[in-house]
Amino acid sequence: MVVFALSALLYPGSAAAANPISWVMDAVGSAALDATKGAILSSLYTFLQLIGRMLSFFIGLMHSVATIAVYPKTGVPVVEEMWKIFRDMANMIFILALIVMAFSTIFDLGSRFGAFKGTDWKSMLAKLLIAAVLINFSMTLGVVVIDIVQVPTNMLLTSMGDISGRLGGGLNVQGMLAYSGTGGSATITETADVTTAAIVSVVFMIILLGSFFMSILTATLFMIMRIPIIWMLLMFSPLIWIANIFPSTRKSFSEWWTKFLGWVLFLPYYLFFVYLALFVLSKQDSIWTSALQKAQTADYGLNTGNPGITVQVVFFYIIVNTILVGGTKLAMSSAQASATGVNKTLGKLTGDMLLSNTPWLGGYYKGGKTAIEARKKQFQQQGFQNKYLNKVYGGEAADKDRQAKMGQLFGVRGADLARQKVFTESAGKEFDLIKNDFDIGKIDIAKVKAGASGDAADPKVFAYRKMLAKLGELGDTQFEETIKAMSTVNNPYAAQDLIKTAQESEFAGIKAKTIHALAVNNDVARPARKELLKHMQGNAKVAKELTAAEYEEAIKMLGGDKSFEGSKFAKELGKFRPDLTYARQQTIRTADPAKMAEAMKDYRTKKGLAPTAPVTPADLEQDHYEAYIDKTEIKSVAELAYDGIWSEPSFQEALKEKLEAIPEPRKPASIRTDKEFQKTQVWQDWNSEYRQRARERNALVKNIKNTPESAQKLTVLRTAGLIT
Amino acid sequence: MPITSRNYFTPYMVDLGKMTGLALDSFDKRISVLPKAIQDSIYDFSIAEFIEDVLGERFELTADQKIELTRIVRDILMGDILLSDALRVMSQKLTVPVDVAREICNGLLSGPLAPTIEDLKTLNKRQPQTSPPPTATSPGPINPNNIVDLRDQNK
Repeated sequence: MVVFALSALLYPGSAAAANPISWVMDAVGSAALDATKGAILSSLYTFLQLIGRMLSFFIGLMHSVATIAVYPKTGVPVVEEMWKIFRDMANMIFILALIVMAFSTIFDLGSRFGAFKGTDWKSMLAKLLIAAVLINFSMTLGVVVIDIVQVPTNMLLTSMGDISGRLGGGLNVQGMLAYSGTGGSATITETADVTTAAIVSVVFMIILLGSFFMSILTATLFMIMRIPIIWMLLMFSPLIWIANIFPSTRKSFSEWWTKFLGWVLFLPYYLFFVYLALFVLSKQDSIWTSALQKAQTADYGLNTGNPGITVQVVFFYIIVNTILVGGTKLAMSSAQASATGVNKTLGKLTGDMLLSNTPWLGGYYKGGKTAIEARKKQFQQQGFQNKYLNKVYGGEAADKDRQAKMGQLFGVRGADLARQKVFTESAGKEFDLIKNDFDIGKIDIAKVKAGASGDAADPKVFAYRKMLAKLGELGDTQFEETIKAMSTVNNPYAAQDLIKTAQESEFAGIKAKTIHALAVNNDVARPARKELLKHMQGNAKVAKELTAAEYEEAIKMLGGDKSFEGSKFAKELGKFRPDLTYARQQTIRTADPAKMAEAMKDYRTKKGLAPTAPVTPADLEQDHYEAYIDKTEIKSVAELAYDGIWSEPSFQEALKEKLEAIPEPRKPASIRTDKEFQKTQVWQDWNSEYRQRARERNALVKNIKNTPESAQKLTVLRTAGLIT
Repeated sequence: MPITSRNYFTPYMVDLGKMTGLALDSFDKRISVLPKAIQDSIYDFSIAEFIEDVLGERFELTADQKIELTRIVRDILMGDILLSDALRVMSQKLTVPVDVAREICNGLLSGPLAPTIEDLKTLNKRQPQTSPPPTATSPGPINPNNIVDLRDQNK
């Protein structure tokens, strides 16, 4: 009876035409069943029947569920209405997102507050624009995905036809046991325990059908569950586009897509495995036929060690079971994996990639992106450029400046330097922009001049003045004012920077007197003064203004005679101002009698004087100038200032000593003719020196012509008898 | 010949000691408008060396003759003596035979004055008339009537 029921179950429709009673009788033969074993067998059959019924029911249910459209063409009103609610909500959030982004940009919240950490509004903007559009199409997008997936689903369903009928027919338990009875009867008979064999067979069937049942149950449940889950995901779809905008919620977007695609793709994947199982089952007749033929022609009994028919039958159904059970599992995991892959691909296709790779538009997008990035950076660094709004938000520069100011106030070591650096950096960036604008013709000199008016302590005004200095258009007054202003606000490096820039245009438009006045002004910042002194050491016009006392002070400021800067200054300045170097030597000698004595001794040796011969300071001064003329180009001698040098008797004497025509040596009595005398070394040396002096006199006169006070200098030469 | 008779005056330097104030300014201004090659020659020490060491030696010129020759060269360079007159002036002022003057002239023109010849020709074309060479030692008499009294311009 039980077997009949099972048979009926496993053979819905036509399959039930088989005779279950004969199958049991054939199976057990005529042997009397043991009462206990019979009861067990009976219970097992009851249980097997139950499993069979449930399996039958779920196979039918699965077939019905598989053919249900997740989202029918007519739509699902509850889903649509709920979707509208969430869509409106998303649109509202969209506006809020715009406001948040604006403030985040203005106040650079992305780098300041944890909640906005990592917020990159540039990339957010692209996503925001995409989201703004796609929010309203989120339902359509979801339905399109479902419809696309429905195509392979329908193909599989069509090719499989009646799943329940084919699956039930395929899992032919009677046939299974019949085969085992035929092929393996010898074994059972030999055991002489037919009841036990029947129990074993039924237990095996229970396990096998149980596995089938669990597989079908799980798959059916998943197929049922997926419908409300997909509906729910569709309802929330507008919100996930909003979630995609913000970095902190972006994960939800990808999770949504993973889940949605996973659930949508589950069915075609699972149906594929069902199709595979059905295909295998449909081939079982040919398999058994082949197996029986081989059993008749060869000994496949257990005693031979070859697999019997029963074993093959069991193995076949295990394979089918594996396909169904494993298929369910694989369908779930494959669907999730595919969803993740699709999700990632979709993620890349949206936003930047989509816009960047679009011809023409991509160029504008990239350009715009770069420009926005640059503007953002500028804003973050400089804040508002309006002088009032700048107080509200002055960017990083203002922040750093405030920090430095406070640091200075509290005596933090290095705070002052940091503040100066902030100013210089800020002004430097402004300067680069101004220079660029000027170079490309965006602004002209008038605009640069206009920008230069105002408080020099303002980095922008300072930058404009620096630009004027570079162009040689910074006037004398403005130059002085800026240097003094920088010194007053204790920003020596900015002052130094301005001077270095002015040097590029060789201090065009700035008077030598102004440069000198600033270089010797104790109120001017030291680095600025040093820079001006460096300029002075290479410029005769400025050097001319320097007094002996100022020279002393400058040497001290540069670290003394022995320091690199000090000695270089003395050496270079000495080319224009030998009077100052002499004055300094005399100051040192006067302070140190030993040095004075040494200088006098050297002078006597040089001039071939007696050790006791008197040496006056004038002698030493003349000697100093003679040495100067010896080692200096005649052009530089011509350029020396008249006042203080050319006008000095010691200098005039030195000139005469070095340039006057020296008398011809007396011809010795031993040489008779001039011609003979001219061949002697004495005469040759004299002639060479005579000629050289004449050459230098000519060169001096020629060079004097182009120097200030040339008339006075020529008078000096005339008086000295150097020109006749 | 005593060696000290050598002065090595360049065309610029000769008579410079005698020029002061306005005369010197005027002289400098006239030089400044000359072509560069001529300006360079006026200051060129090699001309002084050529006159002293080459011409002076070869033609046994006296110190005065050499100074006078330097003056003539200066005047040629300044366009005060035309190239076509150079031979005559040289012969007259140096009191040497024409043949010697020609040799001196050729020596100068093929020597240190060679780079200036084209400029001198151009300069001579602009000043076709022969003008007497200015001598610093004997400046021409100032014509008092040549003074324009600007106060009388309304008359």
